[in-house]
Amino acid sequence: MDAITSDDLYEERNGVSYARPILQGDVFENVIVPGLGDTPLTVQVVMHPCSMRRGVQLVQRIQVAPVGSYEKVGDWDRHLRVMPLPDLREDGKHYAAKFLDTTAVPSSSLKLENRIASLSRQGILVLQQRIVRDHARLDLPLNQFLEQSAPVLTEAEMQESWVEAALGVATALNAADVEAAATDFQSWLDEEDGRRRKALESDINHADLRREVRAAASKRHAQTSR
Amino acid sequence: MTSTLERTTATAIAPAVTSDYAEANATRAISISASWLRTDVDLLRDDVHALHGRTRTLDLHDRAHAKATSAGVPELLAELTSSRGMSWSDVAAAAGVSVSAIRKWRNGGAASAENRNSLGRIAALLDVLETSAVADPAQWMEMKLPLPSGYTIRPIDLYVTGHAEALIDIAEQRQDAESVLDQAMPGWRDHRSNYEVVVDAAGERIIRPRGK
Amino acid sequence: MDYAHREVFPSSPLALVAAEVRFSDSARLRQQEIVDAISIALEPMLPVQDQFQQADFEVRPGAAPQIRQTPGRNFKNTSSTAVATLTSDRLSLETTAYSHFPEFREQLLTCCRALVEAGVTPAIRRIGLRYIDEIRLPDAGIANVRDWAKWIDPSLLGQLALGPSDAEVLQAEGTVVYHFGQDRGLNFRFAALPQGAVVSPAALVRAPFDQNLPFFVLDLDGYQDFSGPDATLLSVDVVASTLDAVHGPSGATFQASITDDARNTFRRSEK
Repeated sequence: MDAITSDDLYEERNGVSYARPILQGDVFENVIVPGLGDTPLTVQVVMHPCSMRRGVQLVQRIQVAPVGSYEKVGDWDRHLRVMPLPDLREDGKHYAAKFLDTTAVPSSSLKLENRIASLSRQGILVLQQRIVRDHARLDLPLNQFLEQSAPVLTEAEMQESWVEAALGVATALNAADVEAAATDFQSWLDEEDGRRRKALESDINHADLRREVRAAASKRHAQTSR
Repeated sequence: MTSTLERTTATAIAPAVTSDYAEANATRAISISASWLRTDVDLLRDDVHALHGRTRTLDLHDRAHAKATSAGVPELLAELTSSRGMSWSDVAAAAGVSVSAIRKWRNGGAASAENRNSLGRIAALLDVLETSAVADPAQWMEMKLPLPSGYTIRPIDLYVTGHAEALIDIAEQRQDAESVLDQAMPGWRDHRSNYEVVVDAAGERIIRPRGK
Repeated sequence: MDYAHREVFPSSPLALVAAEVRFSDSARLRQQEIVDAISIALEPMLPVQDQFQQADFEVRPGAAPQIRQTPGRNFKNTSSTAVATLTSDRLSLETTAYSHFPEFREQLLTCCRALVEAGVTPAIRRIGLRYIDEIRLPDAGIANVRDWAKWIDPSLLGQLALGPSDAEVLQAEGTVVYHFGQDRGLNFRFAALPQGAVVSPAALVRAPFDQNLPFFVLDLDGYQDFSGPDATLLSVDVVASTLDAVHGPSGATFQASITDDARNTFRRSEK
């Protein structure tokens, strides 16, 4: 099992850019979890990114694991029922997401203003590794997960670039604007008979697509800011 | 690089082709990889077997310095991600910093001179790769090397572990990836995965046991 | 110059085209000013120039290997897709961005003209024209050599049937040396390889390709040797007519080696 420091685990903490699509690993607070009482909880999305969406829209229910206080994890080969979240709020306190209580919540209850942390690409892979270990007692190397998730993670990065260019780099944006920009991006992917979406399926096209989206997004931004 | 066939050796096998046909020789070109040339058609009977040796000075250090001193961190980040098309994670890994640090720089946070040098180094490497070896360096860096099944090593992984020269050798195909790794990262063969990623019938990528 | 099925494919699998003119040792090509004059003449076409030391190893059975260093010059175009190499006994031109024969021919003749006009007219030893195709079909699901049957002419795969039919074929290779008489010939080498590449991007930039894919190599080397009592001195006309003569068989053999399915795939324009 791979260990990871808090600096490498998180993409953002205490404020996650609205431009970033909701992804596996995102931590939300103030979520009512059916079956776990009426008090809002902090949860981490554990659902596989490939299953989370139909088009732009999130599917109806997203699997999450509740997050609670936890000791600081030294040996990542142990504590296999949880995903450690060291220093989650950058206040020196440590948490973890408990796989045992994984439940589905309505996707509408995952609001962007309640997203308090996102994982880096490496962090997402570590989470996937631990989920598979917990669910199936199967140990897989991280680069296997990287190979498997490459297209969906690249697409998420591209969408974030696009939305950022369209709406600016700000943590708190209007959720409706974000969704409109995200829909825009997905249409752009579908242009020319879905050429770009099909290109995403092969890693060999990813560098080219990243260049394309940044150029298209800059152009779009230049147009809207006039 | 083509995998060279291992052949059963025997002292009775003549070192070069002797035949009744007119001497076979070949049009030479520097772009043809050494392993393809290891064939009897290119070995002249009793004659010179020419290996092209070339000297090339590679001054990554000077180039990196030039990059780092002529551009600020935002420009370097833009060059690596927008012009080259690297992912943010790979930029962070290559620069030896955390993803959160890169985020802060993206949002205008300060970066140290050492950080700027790290970014300059990776930008310089991509330049060198482009002029001497590969059309799309960022793409090449993230594609896994042609190794036997069960090994996933990407050029960026070599860079991150400090083997930039080995990376360039592979890019220029002076030797095949396996030989370069044997020298630069002995012990790489010990980490063979029993799994592989394939595309299933529904068009999705899945992980399954290797060699089914 | 025309051969059966001749056409220029938009999505060509051509990885490298190389032409080489070998000649007797020319002392003039060891003179700085003459090489400089040639460099200047080539500047419009191939402006990126540098010098190199070529190390030739002589390996003879029973003797220690000897190393001979010869100086040489490279001339590249700005996109690094074509390079001419000049040493005292050889001129070559190779490109990874070949579009059609007349253009490449003209480029080689420009190089020859530069030599001739600088007073360099040694006796020609050999003129060769080599085409190396690397066929990769990412969408065709080729997992082992037998899968090439749809794309490669059956005569190149016929030998696979000789071995055990229940075994996977990882790799296959063949070489044929054709001789036309009057010192003209064609070396044809083909191989089905599991991954990698035969044309290295060490000197020239190649169009991107996935080196983890299986590929089929067709290496066609047409040449004319110049032996015999009367020396033929280097001239643009001789190089031109020789190139034309050796060009035809390569193209015809390539077309004969691939199926119509392959031809249709190569005809499809790139994105």
